[in-house]
Amino acid sequence: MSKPRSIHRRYQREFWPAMLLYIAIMFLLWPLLPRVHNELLKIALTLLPVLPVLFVVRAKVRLVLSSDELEQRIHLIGLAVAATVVSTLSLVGGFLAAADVIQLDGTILVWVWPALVLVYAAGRGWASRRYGSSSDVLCNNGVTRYRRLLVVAMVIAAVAGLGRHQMSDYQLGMLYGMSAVLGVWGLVLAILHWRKQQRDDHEAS
Amino acid sequence: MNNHVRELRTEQNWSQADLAERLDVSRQTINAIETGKYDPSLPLAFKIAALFGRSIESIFVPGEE
Repeated sequence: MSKPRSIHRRYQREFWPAMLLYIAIMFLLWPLLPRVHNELLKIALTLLPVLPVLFVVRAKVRLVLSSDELEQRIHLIGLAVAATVVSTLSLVGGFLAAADVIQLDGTILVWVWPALVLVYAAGRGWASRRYGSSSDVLCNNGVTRYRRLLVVAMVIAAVAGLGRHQMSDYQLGMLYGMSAVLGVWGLVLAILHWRKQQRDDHEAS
Repeated sequence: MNNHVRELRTEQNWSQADLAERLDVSRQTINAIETGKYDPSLPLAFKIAALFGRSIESIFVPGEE
């Protein structure tokens, strides 16, 4: 495993607290919105999740600016793929809604950012493999994938546990389900990682 | 473009990670350069040449397009 570069360590330090804050706000504070009647407080609480997102964006911008030339090219390809896919989907959805073929609620805009992040990650992964790497430019930080999956599974389970009194059964089920799937996926990868290490040790001896 | 980066690196007994650290780039970038999947920019090529004490044209040679 390669040693994590300082820019990746800094990115992890900046990204994870902001992301955990975002998750906590979305699942612990946002469900309180129907109970808030003061207009200003309602606007402040509604826009509160944007604050940690701005810190996530800042972390990503700093990472990209500090990356080397190939990494920047990979980021560019990922962003181009994400912009193309998400804008095309938006266009298709917009035309269908304008023609009254489908009904689209304005809240669908909330999904634009997660969709961009997901397609950007997929685009980066594809570009990284094109340049002969098995790891992603954002994830090549010395932390194995199974550890990241297990940590995310634990965080989601903790959020569900903390917010169980404020969330609907549907939300709780979704969070526990996500946590279980990611946990099992992490465990499978951990077993595969352990077996590969055993094999490598056996071959080396 | 072809290059002799891998030979020069192994002559020095450096790993890809060692060379990456010396050039302040990622190990992935070194791997992509050595395998010919990525041609470095002129500033990085100059940096590589300076590190090995050679001229650019003795390290990077035009390949078939």
